[in-house]
Amino acid sequence: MIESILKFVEANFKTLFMITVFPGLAFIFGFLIFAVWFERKYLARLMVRMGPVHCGKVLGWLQLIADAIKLITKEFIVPRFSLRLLFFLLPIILPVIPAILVVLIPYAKDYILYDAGGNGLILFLALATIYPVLSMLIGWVSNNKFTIIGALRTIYMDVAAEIPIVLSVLGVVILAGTYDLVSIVEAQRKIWFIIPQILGFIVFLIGYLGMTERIPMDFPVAEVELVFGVKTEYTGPLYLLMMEADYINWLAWSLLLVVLYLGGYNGPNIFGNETISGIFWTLIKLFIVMVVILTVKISYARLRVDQAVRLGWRVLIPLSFINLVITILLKYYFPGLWGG
Amino acid sequence: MVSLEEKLKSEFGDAILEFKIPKDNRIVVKVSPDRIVDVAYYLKNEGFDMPISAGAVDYMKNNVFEVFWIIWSSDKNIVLILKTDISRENPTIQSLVEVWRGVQKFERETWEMFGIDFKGHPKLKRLLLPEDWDYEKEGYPLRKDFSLKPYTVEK
Amino acid sequence: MGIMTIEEVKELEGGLMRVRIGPQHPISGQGTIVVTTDGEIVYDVEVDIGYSHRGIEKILENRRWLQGIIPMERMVMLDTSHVAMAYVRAIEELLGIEAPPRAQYIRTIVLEMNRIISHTYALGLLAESTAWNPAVFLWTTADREPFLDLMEMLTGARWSYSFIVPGGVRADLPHGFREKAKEAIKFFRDRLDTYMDAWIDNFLFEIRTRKVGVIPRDKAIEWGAAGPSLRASGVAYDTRKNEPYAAYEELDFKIVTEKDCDSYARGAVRVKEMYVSLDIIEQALDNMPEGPVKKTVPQNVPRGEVYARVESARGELGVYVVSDGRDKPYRVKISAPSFRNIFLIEMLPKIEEIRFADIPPIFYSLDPWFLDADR
Repeated sequence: MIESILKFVEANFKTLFMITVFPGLAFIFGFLIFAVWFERKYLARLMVRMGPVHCGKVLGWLQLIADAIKLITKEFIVPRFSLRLLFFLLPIILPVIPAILVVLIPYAKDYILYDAGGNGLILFLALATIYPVLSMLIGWVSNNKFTIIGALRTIYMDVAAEIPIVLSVLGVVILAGTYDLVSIVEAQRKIWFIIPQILGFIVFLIGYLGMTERIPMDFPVAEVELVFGVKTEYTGPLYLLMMEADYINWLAWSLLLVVLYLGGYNGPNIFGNETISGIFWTLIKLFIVMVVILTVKISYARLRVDQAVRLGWRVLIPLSFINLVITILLKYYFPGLWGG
Repeated sequence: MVSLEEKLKSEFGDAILEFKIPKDNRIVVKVSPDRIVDVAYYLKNEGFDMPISAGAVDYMKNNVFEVFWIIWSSDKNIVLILKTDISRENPTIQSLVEVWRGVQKFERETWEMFGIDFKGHPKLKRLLLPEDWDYEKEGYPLRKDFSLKPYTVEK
Repeated sequence: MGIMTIEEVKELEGGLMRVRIGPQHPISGQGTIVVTTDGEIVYDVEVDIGYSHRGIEKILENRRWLQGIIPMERMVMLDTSHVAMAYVRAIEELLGIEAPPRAQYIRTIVLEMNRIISHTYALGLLAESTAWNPAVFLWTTADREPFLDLMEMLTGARWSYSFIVPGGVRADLPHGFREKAKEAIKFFRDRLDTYMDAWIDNFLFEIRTRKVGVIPRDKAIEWGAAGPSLRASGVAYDTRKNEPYAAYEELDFKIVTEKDCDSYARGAVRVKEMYVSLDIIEQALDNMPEGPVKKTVPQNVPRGEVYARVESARGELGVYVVSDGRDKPYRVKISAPSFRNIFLIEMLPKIEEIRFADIPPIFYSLDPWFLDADR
C-alpha cells in the first residue's frame, strides 16, 4: 500500500510539487503574505507613515498572520434579511477562481501546470470574467442599499473594462499566431510585445486596473461614497476570504500582463538552469508590475463610473482597433521578428 | 444713506419705528411686524441681496421677542440689521423665505430655540435639537426662562 | 429589486431609494446627508445636523466676557482664534477701545497661521473625498506641523489658544519666533508648489471636480454662501477688505476669486489663499511696530448691541452681541459660516444633474465643518 503511494509520488513528483509548492498552495499563500506586507509598507512610506512595525520585529512582516488570526476568530455575522446560503457560500467560491488562473501561467519553458491543449489564453480570459459577476452577486445577496449600488457599478465597470481587454489581447494573438501561453512567451524571444503593441498595452493596462479593482477604477469597493461597496456586510472569516480573493486576482492578472507584454520568463540564463532562471525572471517582472501599480494607486483619484464607461467605449475600443490595424501590418511586413 | 432713510419713511410712514446708523457701513432698521415683508422686498430691490444671519433676542422684562435679520448689500458693501418686535405670549411672524432663500435655516433654528412661529416657512422641523425633544416638559432652550439647572451637575 | 426589509429603506415610487450617508460613514463627518437616488442620479439631498450641538449661545449668557472666549474657541476646533477674534472685536467695539498696534500685528499672524492650519485640513479632506486613498490627506496633515509648533511656541497650546483677549493679546513674541516662522514659511511655500503640481493639476482630480456642483453667482448670493465657496463664484467678498480688523488695513494683499463656480474652483481658491496668507505673515513679521501688547479693560461692558464679523477660514463669521451693562452678555448670536455653506448642497439637485458619486466632492469642496454649524 505504502509502496504504491510512494511510486505514485515519484512518478508524478513534478506535478505534485507544482500543485503544492509552486505555483500552487505555498506560493499563493506566500505571495499573499508578501503582497499585503509590501503594499502596506510601500504605501505607508509614500504617505509619510511607517506601516506595520510591531508584529515580526522591525519590518512587521508577520502583520498579515496576526490580522488573519484576528479575522478568523471574529464573530460570524450573517444579516437576517440577506440570502443567507449564498451570502455564506460566495466568499468561499470567490478565491478559487483566481487561484485556477494562477496555474495556467507558464513560469518557465517547461514549467506550466496546465496548458489547456494550447488554448491557455482563452481559458484564462473565460474564467477571469466570472470574478466580476461573483462580485456583483455578493453585492446583491447582501440586501443593503450601499452594496446594491456597488453591485450596479461592478457591472458598469465590467462592461467598460472587459471588451477593451479582449480586443487588445487579440493583437498579441495575431503577432504570436497562437492562443498558447507558452508559445506567446517564446514569440517574445527577440523583442517584448510591449514595444510593437504599445497601444494595446495601454488599453490592456486600463482594463487590467478595472478587472483587479485598483484605483483609479476600484468601483466595487468605492470606499468613499459607499461604506465598503459590495463587501460592506462582510466581517470575520468571510471578509478574510474576500481579501485573499482580491489579492490572488491581482496576482493572476499581473502574471498575465507579464506573460503577454513583458516577455514572460525570457531573460538571460543566470542560474545555469533554464527553469530556475525562467521562474526568477517571471517573479522579478511581477514585482516591478506590483510596484508600478501601487504607485499609481497613490497618485490618482477614482473615476466616476459613468466617466469610466465613457472612457471604455469612446477611447479604449477605438484605440484597440487602431492597434489591431498596426499589428496586422507589422505581422505582414516583419514576419520573422516574432520568433518561435 | 440719508436718502435710504427718507425713501423708507416716505414709502412706509410710521411702520418704520427706528432708523439708526451706528457705524460707517451698518444700518439698523426697526419695523412694525405687519409690514415686515413689504419692507424686506423694498430693501431687496434697493440692493440688499445676501442674507447673512437671522435670529431673535428674548427681552423678558418688556415681554417681547425681538426678531432680527442681517442682510448685506453686494454693491454698496453695507450690512443692514432688520428688526421687529413680537409679543412673547403669541409669537408669530411672517417668514422672509420668499424674499431671501438663505434665511430658511436660520428661521428654522429660531423656531426651534425660541418657539417663534414663522408663517409661510416651508419646513419647520427640528434641526439642532433631537427629534423627540418634548417642549412641554423642557421648554424652549434659548428663552430666558429656560433653566440650566437640570443640566448641570452638582459638585 | 430584492427582498423587502424592515430597515429604513423607503422605496418611493419610481424605484428611488433614500440612502442615509449617516453619522457612521467614512465620509460624512458628524452629520447625516440623506440622499434620494435611483442608484446614480440624485433627486434630493437633505442635510441633518445637530449631532454635536453644545448650546454655546446659551452657555455664553452665563459666562463673564473674558471667560466666554473659552467656549467660543471650542466651537470650531480648527481655526479657533478666528472665533475668539470675532467675539473680542464685538467686545472692543462695545467698550469703544482699540488694542495697541503691536497686538494687532500679532493677532494678524496668529489668525493667518490658523487659516493655513485649517485650509490644509480641509483640502486633505477634499482630496480624500475623491477617493484618493489617504495620501494627500496625510501629506497635508503632516505639513501643518511647523505651524502647530509655532503656535505652541507662542501660546503654549496647539489648537485652542485663548490668546486673543479684549485689549490685545496675552503675551509677546518669544525669542526665536521670527526665525522659526520664516523657516516654516519657506518650507510651506515649497510644499504648496508640490501640491499644485501633484494634485491640483492632476487630471483625475480635475475630472472629478470640474463642472461638478456649479453654483452660479446670483444663486450663491441669494442662498447666502460664505467664504471660499462664495469667492469661487466670483463674488469679491472678504471681510478682511470690506471691514478691516487687526492689522489688515496696513497690509497689502489681494482677495482671491475664481470664475468657474465649481468644486475645482473652491479647492483652487483655498490653495491660492494659502499663498496669500504666507505673504501676509511675512509682511506682518517684517513691519511689526514696538509697544505694549495688552490694555486693561473694565469688567462691565456698556449697554449696546453690535454685529462684528471676521473672515475665518470657512467664511465670514459674525457675532451679534447684545449687552445690558453687566459683566455677562445678554445675548450672543453666532452666525457660523458652515451653517450657511452646508445647506448649499440641498439646493443643487434642483438646478443641475448630480450623480451619487459627486456628493462627496461637492460636499467637501464647501468645507463643511459640522462643529461649526452646530455650535
